[in-house]
Amino acid sequence: MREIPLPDVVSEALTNALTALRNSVTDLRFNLDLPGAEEARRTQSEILAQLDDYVIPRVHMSTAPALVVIAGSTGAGKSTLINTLANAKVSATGVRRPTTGTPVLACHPDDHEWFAKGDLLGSLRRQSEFDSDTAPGGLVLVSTERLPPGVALLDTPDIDSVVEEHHEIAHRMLDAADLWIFVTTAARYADAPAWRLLRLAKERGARLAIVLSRVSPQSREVVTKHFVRMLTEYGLGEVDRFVINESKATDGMLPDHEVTELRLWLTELSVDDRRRAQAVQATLFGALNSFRTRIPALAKQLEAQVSFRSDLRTDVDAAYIHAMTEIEETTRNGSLLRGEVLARWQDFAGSGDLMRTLHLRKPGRFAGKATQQAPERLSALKSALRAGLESVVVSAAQRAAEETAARWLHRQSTGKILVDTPGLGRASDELLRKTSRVVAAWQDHIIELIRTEGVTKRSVARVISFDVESLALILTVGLLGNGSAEAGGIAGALPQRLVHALLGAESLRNIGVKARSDLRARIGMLFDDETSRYVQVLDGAGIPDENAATRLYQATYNLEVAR
Amino acid sequence: MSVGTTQTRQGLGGRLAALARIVELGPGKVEPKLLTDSGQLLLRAGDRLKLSSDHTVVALAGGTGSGKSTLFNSISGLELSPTGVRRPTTARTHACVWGLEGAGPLLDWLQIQWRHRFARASALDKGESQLHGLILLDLPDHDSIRALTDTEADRLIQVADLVVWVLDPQKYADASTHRRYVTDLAGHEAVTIFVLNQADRLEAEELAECVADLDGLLRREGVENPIIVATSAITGRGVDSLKAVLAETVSKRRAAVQRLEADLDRLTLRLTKVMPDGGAPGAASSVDDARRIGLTDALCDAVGVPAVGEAMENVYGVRSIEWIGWPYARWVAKLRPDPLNSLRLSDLRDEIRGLAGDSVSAQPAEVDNAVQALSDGLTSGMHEAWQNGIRDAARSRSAQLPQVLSEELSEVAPRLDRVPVWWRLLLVWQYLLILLFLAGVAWVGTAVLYGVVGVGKLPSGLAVFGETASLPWVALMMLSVLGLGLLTAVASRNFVVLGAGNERDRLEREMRRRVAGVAEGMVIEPVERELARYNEFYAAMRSMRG
Repeated sequence: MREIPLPDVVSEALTNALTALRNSVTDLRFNLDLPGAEEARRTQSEILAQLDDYVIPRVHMSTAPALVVIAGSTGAGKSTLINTLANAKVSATGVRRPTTGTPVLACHPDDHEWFAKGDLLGSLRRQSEFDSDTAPGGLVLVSTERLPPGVALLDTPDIDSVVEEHHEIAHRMLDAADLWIFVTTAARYADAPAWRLLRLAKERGARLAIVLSRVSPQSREVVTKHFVRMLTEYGLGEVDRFVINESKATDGMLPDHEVTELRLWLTELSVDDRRRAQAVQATLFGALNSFRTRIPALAKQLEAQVSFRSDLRTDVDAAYIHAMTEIEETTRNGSLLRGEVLARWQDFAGSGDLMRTLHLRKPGRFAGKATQQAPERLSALKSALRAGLESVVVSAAQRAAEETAARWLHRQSTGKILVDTPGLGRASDELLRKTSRVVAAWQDHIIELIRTEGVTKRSVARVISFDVESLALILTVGLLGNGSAEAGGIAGALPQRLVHALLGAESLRNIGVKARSDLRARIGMLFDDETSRYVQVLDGAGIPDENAATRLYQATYNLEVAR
Repeated sequence: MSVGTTQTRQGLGGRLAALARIVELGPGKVEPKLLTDSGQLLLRAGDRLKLSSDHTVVALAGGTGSGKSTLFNSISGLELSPTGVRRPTTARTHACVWGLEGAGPLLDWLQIQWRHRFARASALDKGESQLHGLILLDLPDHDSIRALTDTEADRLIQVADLVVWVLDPQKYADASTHRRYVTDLAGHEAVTIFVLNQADRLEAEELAECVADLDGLLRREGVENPIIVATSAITGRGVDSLKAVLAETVSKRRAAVQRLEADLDRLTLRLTKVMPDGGAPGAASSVDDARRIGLTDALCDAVGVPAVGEAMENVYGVRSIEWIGWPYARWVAKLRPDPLNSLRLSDLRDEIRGLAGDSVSAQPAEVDNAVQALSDGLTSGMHEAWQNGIRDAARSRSAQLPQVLSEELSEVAPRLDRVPVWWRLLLVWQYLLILLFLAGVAWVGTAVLYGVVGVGKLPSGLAVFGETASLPWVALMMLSVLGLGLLTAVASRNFVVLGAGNERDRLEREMRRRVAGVAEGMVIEPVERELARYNEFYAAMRSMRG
């Protein structure tokens, strides 16, 4: 018995659960720049890479050789160590930092085929030894007799140099490893990045061995003691440790006696199938366990994205609803009947034109004469009303746009959206044109209403005819001044009473209600156009799927069940 | 102190004053982080320039294990700072001063503990006089796990006049050094030295390769012409050349100013990035006449000044007829049937008449848009923060503006129902004429009765009324009385129209004048104050750029 394979049923169920998990992670989008979004994107790609490179192939083929990843700081001597263990120059060494950019996998010739076929780390392009191609995404594969079968060594780029792509590759290698050998030096063992890596190993539950290299013989005792104390404080006191003295490397290799202990450890791993399988299983379970926290973290961020988007949407709606309420208030309390409108109304009424719109019907002779009167003051009043209403709408829309921008700015992480899309803080350019169209259409609509709905009281109709257009204006003035204390006596009640006398209470109420709701509907449409600018910006950043978070939780649960 | 230094100091002072102005004007316009950083630089610069200019603070910075303390001891020639193999070794900053007098306050400012201060009196040391004025700091590392909670190294790297980065062949490319500090150092070349320590660990050609690699790396990160010195604190190699570099810097006594200048340059770049010098030169500090007139026009429209004038003229004209019109025509008109009567709304007539007494008022939304249009016109091309600033300034008193306008104009607004005295006189005249006409009718009646019909005998005193011979004359008189009434009515009507026209012109002028006055005080003034701040801000930006 070489390994302890997982039972087929378990393996199949687990594979299915993992595939489902993979699918639900693949589709995630974190498009809004919330705090943590960047991290979530990174976690997402890490999880995907780990699933593809390691977890899924490992569950399939639990009997494959163990992969030992050598990781550590730049200049810690990782390549030198692997060269020495392989007893061949498999990885380049040098004084330039960072040295290794492309990972190098060294294994026994018997295992070469398995690694070349590539389920594990399947997404990396296999390269032959000393291939000049240094493009990222490659993996150099070498075989050597000096390594024991069943154990492969992987030399990784550093975790702490200025070349940040290296950190990413190194972490990807670590995610795919069965065992970690962490290399640090006497000069570096207190570095923060090193301890970050150790913490990660602990979190992932990966099987770990630590190599402290470049230790000068005279300080060996002090340094080792200090380092062990630090490790113990960190809860890593039980981990296998190896100390390598500072010695002159020749041809990229240390004297063989320095690594005897480490070689023995590897050979043991190679010979003792049971121990190796245990190590492999432990790391695999560690990786699976890590999904318990990593996947829900993704789901949390996703939920945050969804709720943030709806918050932003609410901001827009709240601002425009407020604007709408303001317009309704203004068109109801008579504050529109000020300025030019008021003066034109006074002109219209005071100069007698108001009375002239009413004609006593004289049998026969003057029938149909009602519409032929001098339109000068009438049209002045009409355009004053239009201008007044327009300005109310435009001003409200402008305030709403400012309000929206201010609310968005008040929330964190939306500054970029506002900078990228200038003009969100003000009303759109077409607003003025659209508003005047809307108001003109509404005025026409009132005329139409009076024509169709305004059934003149029969008793009145017999003696009086009136000009529809003028009556529409008088009605509008009455409508806008309705219920205001200030304008009520003067501009409000007078037209109301006049129209009331002409059309009757029923008809007047109908027309009033219809005219108001028509105005609201028209302005509502106008504001929809305005808000669509914000919605477009939000949609441009991608619409997060509200159910994705639930799917993630479900997939995590299924995975737990499958185990 | 050399002449050059004095000039630089003055230049620096001016730029710092400009920065102070920016910090003052910046809130709400520049992001708070940048302002905080600016404020900190101002404080630091103020402190440093007050303290000893004869001393140069040199900090040895670097990762743990790169040999800062060994190098520190090697330069000072004493075992001052503990060295060791345990990592991290140095936890507190040690300072060594060449020439102690005057350095105390500076060391206090640097917050170096007393027991970690050491003095090298240059007079006692032969061959060290060129280092007189040097304050050498041995910093704790910035990259160990201890440094995660201790920001001492960070703090001193920010305030030192000259930073010596101590690197070693193992760690020279660490992200913790480069990403956190070096990339921020572009422009600080004059006050930064890179030391590749532990050179004894490398062969000659390896060392050359290493130095070349480091040089390339630094240049890629934006450090132009980095000064790199290879040293070995253990063998003493290169320490003398490092000392020589330090001695040169110390003797020039410019590092403190250069450091501040470099920091200021950096800050200027950041500020320029967020506040590009866009429309600044074109912006006038006052609102030009065209815009003032535009605003006044728009506000007049919001109040309805032209409409008020027109209404006044028309209503005046119509109402005048009741007083000065030809009474006969009025009576005839009254005989026509009134539609209001048939609607049973005859009281509305009085109401319409009462309407004319209403006051002038401003339309809030239109006032709002007028103010908005002014700020839009003024701010095109400005940075958004300033656009908002000027808009807010323009609107600062928007809430009261309609009210104030209404009140102000109500004072001059005409009462449409007023009746001038001459109207009354003319009415009396018209009635006089009517009386005269009636007298004529009476005369004619009397003459017909007594003269033609011969009803009786008039008293002798009144006999003249009974003569038929006077009838043509009386008729002529009656006709001319009627004609006179008509003429008077027509003439005075023309007179009223003419007067109303003039009155309207006068009224409109007066209202405009008042609107302009209100606009000046409640809109233009705040806007101009903000415009002045805007111009001052960009002027400060320009003078900060030097």
